[in-house]
Amino acid sequence: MNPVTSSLAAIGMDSSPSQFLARQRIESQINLPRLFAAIDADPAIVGAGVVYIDADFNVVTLREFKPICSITPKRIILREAKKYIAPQQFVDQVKNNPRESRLATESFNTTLSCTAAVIGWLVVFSGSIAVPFTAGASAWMVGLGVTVAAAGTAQCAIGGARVINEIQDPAANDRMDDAEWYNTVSPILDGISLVGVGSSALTTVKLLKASKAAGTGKSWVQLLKGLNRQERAKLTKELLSLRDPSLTPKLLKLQQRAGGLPKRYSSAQIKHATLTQMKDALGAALSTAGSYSSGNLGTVKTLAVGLYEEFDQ
Amino acid sequence: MIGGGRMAEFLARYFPIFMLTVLLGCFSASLLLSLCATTYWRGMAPAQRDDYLLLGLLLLIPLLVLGNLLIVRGVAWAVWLVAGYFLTCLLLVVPMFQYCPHQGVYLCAMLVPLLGLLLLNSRRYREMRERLLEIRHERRRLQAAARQPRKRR
Repeated sequence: MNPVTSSLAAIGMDSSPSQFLARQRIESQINLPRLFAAIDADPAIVGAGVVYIDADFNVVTLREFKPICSITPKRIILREAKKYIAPQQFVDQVKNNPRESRLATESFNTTLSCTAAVIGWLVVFSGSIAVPFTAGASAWMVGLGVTVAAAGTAQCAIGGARVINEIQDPAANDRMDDAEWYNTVSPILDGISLVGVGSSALTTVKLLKASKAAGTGKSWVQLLKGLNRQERAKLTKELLSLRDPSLTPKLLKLQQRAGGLPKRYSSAQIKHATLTQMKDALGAALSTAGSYSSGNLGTVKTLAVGLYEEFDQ
Repeated sequence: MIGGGRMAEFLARYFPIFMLTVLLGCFSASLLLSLCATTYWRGMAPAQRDDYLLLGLLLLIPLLVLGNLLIVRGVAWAVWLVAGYFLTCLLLVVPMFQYCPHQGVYLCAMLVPLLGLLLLNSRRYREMRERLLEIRHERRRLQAAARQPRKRR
């Protein structure tokens, strides 16, 4: 039991009649073991906590998070819609809620990209003004610096756009994550700026070794592009093991990128298959609205399924 | 002309303002493109919108990088590339007003290119460009000298 619920229990809130009734109602309506089984069948969210928010905003924790799929807490949030909200409207509302955790992550990533850009430009700048004196070496340095500066600048602009998207149109970022060009371009730009930023190529070598250790035998870009869940989980684990002993920004960036490798499960974005399974488990009494809305929205209740996860920084 | 301690001094004096203009350039592109997606392109299919976003990046970022690179290399007219870049961003943002965009973002999108133009026009930036031009001449002279017969070394 986490401190919040226990403190709520201490002041008698957890056992308020409406909470108690809500829990009873939910437990009678949903086949909980089946729901949990469906969640645990998905390697990416195995052991995730389950929280149910009903139409009267009673928050009922059906299951606590167990650190199996990740160290940072992940919670499936089932949210019942208010009775007077149309299902599609509810889906939009859930989808477009600003996501503070994501905003912080995007800002942090942008800062890293911009740091890469600054370092690249610093190399170009100092290389250019020093050229008359140390011709050979710094000419090469400037060449490298230009590449890094260009890559860093592009990443910085993309990062900035993502931060702003997160403020005014969060769904655009989810689309960008799925867009083919972004998945191709971003790792390349990252690679270039990392090679430049790392005082040696150590970071890149480590990353490549980690990919090899994941045992897929694909090239780096391929690895980043198309992995199935298990492969992604493996790669993420390998990369997380790189975190020790010192968590420098470089490694942190790598680790973050690795954490971003599996499709990010933001609100209302659970994989279709899992959602289907969960919908089965949730029973005929409820129709599920998530990244897709079900066809039979007659008299039944609308329920949004979201995944909340904390991003470590 | 510049070497050793002088170089660190030069960097400390001019690099921050240079970098700030580059970053402002970056963010005006971000703001412009992100706003475009919710204003000019709001009626488009999402996939097409993403393509336009990519196209926008491919046009704007190379221009920004090229302009700043030429400035660093001491090309006098290159500042007009960067100034033009900021002006383009600004001019494209202004008519978005009629689409009722997110107010805070819109305000930033107006302020960032203006601030960039202000920095380009600042005394220190002009001074930096003059110094870079001198360095360019210096470099030219040294290169020409290097092409002379080897005995000069």
